[in-house]
Amino acid sequence: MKRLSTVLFLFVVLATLPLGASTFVAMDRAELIANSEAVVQGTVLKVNSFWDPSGRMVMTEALVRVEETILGDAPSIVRVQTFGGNVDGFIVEAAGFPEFKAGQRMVLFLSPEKAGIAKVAGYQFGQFHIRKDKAGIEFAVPALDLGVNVVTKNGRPFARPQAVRLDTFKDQVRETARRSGRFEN
Amino acid sequence: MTKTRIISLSALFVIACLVAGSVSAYVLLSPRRTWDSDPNVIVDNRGQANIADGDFGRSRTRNAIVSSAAWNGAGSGTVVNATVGSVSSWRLGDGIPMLNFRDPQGACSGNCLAATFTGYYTRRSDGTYRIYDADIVTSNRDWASLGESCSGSEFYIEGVMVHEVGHLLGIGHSNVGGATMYPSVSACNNGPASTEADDDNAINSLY
Repeated sequence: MKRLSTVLFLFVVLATLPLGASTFVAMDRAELIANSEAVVQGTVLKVNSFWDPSGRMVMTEALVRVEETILGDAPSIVRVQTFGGNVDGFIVEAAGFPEFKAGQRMVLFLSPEKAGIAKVAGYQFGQFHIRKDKAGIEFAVPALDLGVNVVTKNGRPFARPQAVRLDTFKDQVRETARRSGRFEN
Repeated sequence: MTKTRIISLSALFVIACLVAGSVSAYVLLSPRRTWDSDPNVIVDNRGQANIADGDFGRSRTRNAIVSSAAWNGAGSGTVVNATVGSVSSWRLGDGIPMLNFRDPQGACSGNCLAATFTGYYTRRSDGTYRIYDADIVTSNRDWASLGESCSGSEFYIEGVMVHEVGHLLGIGHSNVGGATMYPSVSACNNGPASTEADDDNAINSLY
């Protein structure tokens, strides 16, 4: 009975989730790796939103302390920027764009840096939260939210990515990179 | 199995069906929000450079947004207008909804086809929420319009923009396959340009 109640609760929660917008082409892991300079596991230290220099767009920057470089090379602290955020109560919602909160642990596929600033490759496709289950086992949970409109190439149906044990996930990333001819770490 | 247990499980089954039914339908953006008057979306007069219909897709995009096959034909009368014009003053939160084909801040690249920035709403005195702006940008890739052939890796701008304008009007995603607001579509499928009953229910619940 308790389990059924839990399932019903989850149904209700899912039915009332706030949703947003934006359309992205689906990316699989191999495509993510091909578009990434590095894949890192880390903790968000600080988050700051601001207007970009043109005054037209709100952006958010996160400082992420790198705990482990899974692929490629990365500094011990990376600066990651994304679009959207909250500046003095002026909120720009940008569904499908990576979101950061201080203290969060995550795996990030990072596109090549420009002027010391990285972006998450594939937007939310390249962001995975690290969460523990009741037994303390860590999982890589896709950040891709339900507010993202996903389009697929060549009529392939889109299967939303699933949570994977973190150690398995990292092995899969390295194996996928190796198969694509990228031998690192 | 005891009688009590059978009754309890039956009740749960009925509730589960009702909840599942509610999941398989439209969702409105949260908090629920509407425009005070029909928004007029300025469609970038430069057009989408890689659409080869002779007009860079601007007229077809504008026409798809206001088509009676889409939101304006759902039963609530006109709910959105669109005009081809200049977006040179493009800025978030300025109260002028715009579709900018050039993505001036580089927000939508790589695997991003289109991004709709929402979040501009204020609370009315009666406790409801008023939308005062929403802006759309597109990447410069893989687009086609109905005025040209569509290769296997291209996406019809009409269908995607009718979907994005649905967000601009205050609608989230639907779990009803084939609905304009269903959160997935395959290449060369312009189905989302025409709203379905679930989409119509969503817009009619708002306006």
